[in-house]
Amino acid sequence: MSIFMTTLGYELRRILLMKKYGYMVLVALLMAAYVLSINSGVSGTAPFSPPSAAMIMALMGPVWSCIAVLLIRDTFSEKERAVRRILFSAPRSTAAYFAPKVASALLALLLIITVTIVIFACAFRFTYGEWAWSALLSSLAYIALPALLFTFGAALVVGRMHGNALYALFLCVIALGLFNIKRPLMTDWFGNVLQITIEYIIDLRAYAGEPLHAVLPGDFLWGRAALSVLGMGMAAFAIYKPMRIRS
Amino acid sequence: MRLLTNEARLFFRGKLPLLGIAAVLGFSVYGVFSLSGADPFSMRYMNLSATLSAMGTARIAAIACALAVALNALLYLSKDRRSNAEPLTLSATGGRQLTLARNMVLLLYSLLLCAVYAAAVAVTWQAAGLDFDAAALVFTAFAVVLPAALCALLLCAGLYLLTDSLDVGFLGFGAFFFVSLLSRDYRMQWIGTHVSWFSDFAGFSMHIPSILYGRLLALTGFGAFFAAGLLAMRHHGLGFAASVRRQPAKIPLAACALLLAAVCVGGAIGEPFLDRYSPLMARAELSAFGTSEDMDTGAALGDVRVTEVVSDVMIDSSSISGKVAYRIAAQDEARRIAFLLNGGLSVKRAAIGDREITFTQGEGKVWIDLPAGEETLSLEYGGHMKTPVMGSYPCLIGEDSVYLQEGSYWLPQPEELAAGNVTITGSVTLPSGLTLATPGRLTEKTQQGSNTLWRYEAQAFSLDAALYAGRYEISSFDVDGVPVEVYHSAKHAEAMRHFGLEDEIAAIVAYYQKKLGPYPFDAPLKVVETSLYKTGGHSSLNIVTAAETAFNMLPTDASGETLASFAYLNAVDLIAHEIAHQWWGSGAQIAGEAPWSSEGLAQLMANAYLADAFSQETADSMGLYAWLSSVTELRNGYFSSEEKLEKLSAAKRAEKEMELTSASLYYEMPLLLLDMRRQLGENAFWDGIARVYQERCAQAITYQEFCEKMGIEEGAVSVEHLYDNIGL
Repeated sequence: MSIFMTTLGYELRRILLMKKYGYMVLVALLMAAYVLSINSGVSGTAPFSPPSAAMIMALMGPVWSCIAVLLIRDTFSEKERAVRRILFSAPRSTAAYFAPKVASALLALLLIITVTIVIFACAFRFTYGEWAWSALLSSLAYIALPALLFTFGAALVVGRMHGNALYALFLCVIALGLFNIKRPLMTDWFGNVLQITIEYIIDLRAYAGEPLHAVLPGDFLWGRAALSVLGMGMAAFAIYKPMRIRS
Repeated sequence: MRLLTNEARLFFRGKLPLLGIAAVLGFSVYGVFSLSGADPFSMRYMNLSATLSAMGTARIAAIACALAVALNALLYLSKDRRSNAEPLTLSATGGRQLTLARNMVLLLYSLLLCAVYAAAVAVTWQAAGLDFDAAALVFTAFAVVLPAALCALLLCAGLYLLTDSLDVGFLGFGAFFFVSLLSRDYRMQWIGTHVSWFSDFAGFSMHIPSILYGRLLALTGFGAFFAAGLLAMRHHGLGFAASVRRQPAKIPLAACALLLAAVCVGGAIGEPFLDRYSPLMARAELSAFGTSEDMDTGAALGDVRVTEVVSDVMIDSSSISGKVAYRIAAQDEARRIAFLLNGGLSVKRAAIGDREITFTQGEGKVWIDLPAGEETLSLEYGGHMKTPVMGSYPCLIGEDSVYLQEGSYWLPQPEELAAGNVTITGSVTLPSGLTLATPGRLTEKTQQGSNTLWRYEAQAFSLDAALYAGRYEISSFDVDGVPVEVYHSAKHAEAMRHFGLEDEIAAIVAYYQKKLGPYPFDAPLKVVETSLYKTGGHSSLNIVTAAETAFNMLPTDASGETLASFAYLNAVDLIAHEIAHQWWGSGAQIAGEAPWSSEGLAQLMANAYLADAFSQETADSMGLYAWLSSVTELRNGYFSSEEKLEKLSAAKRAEKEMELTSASLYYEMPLLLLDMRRQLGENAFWDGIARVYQERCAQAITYQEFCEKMGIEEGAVSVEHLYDNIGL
């Protein structure tokens, strides 16, 4: 455990000090500012209401997912591949190698998400006098986190297959995160189909500030659960599957 | 050359370029049929044609092209570094030549993707049995798809060379990709375009300058990135500053980057298409993403009384020039008055009587010193029309169609115009292939070389005159003494016949004549088909319009059933609403503040027609329930109070206020009228409405006067009664 924590601390420090990480934070903050500038509430609800926060998360989800793919990409870079040959020359489990790396990427991503959420909360507090923690965190849990878990898992599996294929995944994420192909809500990866349908779902005659899970359609929620489970399953598979080192 | 050939051979042997080609192929084929995923209320029910699908397909294919080029560019440019072969290739070929050769190969790849798009679309059109539209295909390939690919290439190559980091290249591309697809500003849209679809009949020549301008802006901006990238291209083992110092062409490259950046920023700031000073700006922005209708917010309430206008204009394929003379009623004293005109137009000469006068001109306004007494003021003006918003245009001048709605101020009008009867006469000279729907009555049509001169005269209550011209067929018929002319594309005649649209228009006019009284104008009612560039409908003087979505509906839906339901009812509702404005808005003028409006009365009349022609349930589903839902949103909404609105920025607040006003005019007012009908009873209500209309035709009426004449207290009418009544 102590080796795990030491490696984790080292990896995390390495990621946080990378110039690239600074660019990632910058892009996330710029996107957050843009989302705040266009958010004026869904279906007449307040800009900080749970449905509006769901829209915000549907827009931020693809950005965070892109960052997740690039963070994972580090684990499968050419340098890492060269280092792995040396590391795996001694007896060592795949999980012991991947777990701290994946955990540190996850923590670095969570840090960016936390900073962005805090900015949203501060903006709401400053503009409307509300922190809206509950709306932000619940929409994060229902909209963005399942998408992120799925992306994270997929990125690990794709990265295990070929490091450069992660760039193709990156482009898939930005394309699917913005391009609305008509599809069932259950398969709505980033919630961008929900962005269109939420206007019809929220009816102010009936809506009185209920939490998000009470408003979102059942098949969408099942879809989120399935995405989360699949994402965690793929991550576990990628971390624990024994690695063959090609000479 | 040999380096280029070798690099091209190596590049095209790879799997990634093939993946990109496959993606473009798939997206292009999907794009042809993407109309089915468009706006659920209208376009998905339209007859598909090659022209109609061209732009939608190109926008989708441009996404695939940009992604394919970005992926290939970044991985291809970084391949030596990733395989630790950089020192070897640099020593063998020299870094600069290799980078340039690789960028040339990527340029060839972009051209290949563009060709794949064109071929895929042509074959899909052929397979789907659609007519071939070569002009639309060539334009979309070279002005939409290819520039998107080139922008992706310049951006990614520039970012990679500048930062020397593959990940930052991808991250930067992602950020610009997001901005392009999420932005509503055409200057930021380097992948998509501000024109979502091409009209089936109105051509697209009017969009060519703005699309090309946007593309050139993007190419210069990303070109600046590329030049900066070449400047900072890393020498092996050196950092950013040292590499720049070692760059032999650093001064020309730096100058080029700065020049391109300055051209891009300057071009974006001084763009020539948007009319930023138009009073219609906020309203048009609302209609672009909210309601697709123009809002009639009431009769003019100024104090400059114009009694007669004579306007002679000439319109060519892109510009307008003209002369207008106003007979202005006697002023007590000399004063300075402002005239509103389109931001793209300028006044060349002003005269009072025969005496030329000086004037002050700003964008969208002209100030003129008028002497006391009755005077005739004439203005000569001209220019290229600007639009308040890209998307749903109030004015467009093209080779195949012309729309000049009153809100675009093609005809300058006093800012403080008083309501009152105005005689408008004039002429419009147009290229001969176009048919003009004139305001009022057509009095003369003369051939003048390659042009046709159309003379007209109209009696109006304001200067709200619109012009519509296109390659139209005219169907004429008579409804109880009212001549009706339907201006429509010959392409859509069959769809119109299939749905009996002319019979429906006749039935609507007959119904309103029976309910309200005679048609208010001594001129034909003109129903004009407009293109997708002017969505929804519009009414001014004796002209009503509806977009081609109402004229070009599919005869069957996906299951093969006749589409007699939602799409058709929507089209009938839209046309009935616009025709109702002939009685309320063009006939009787509505004066006062929201929610009292001609929009509310038009909504009620259209809904009453639906109940009469179809069923009460149909009418309620199209009207009552939707209105109640919107009014609830208006009242329960977070921004329903002034205090909450103050928390917004000025621009957002204006946008929200327009949204609230729109909901109030379109949904609250018809509900108030429904409550009035409930309280008065069916017969008394309709007798009262007919009486009010007949007494106040060609005059203004306030809500207070309306209630008095209807015999009901203003305070006794409330939307809450309807909530109680239907158990909400």
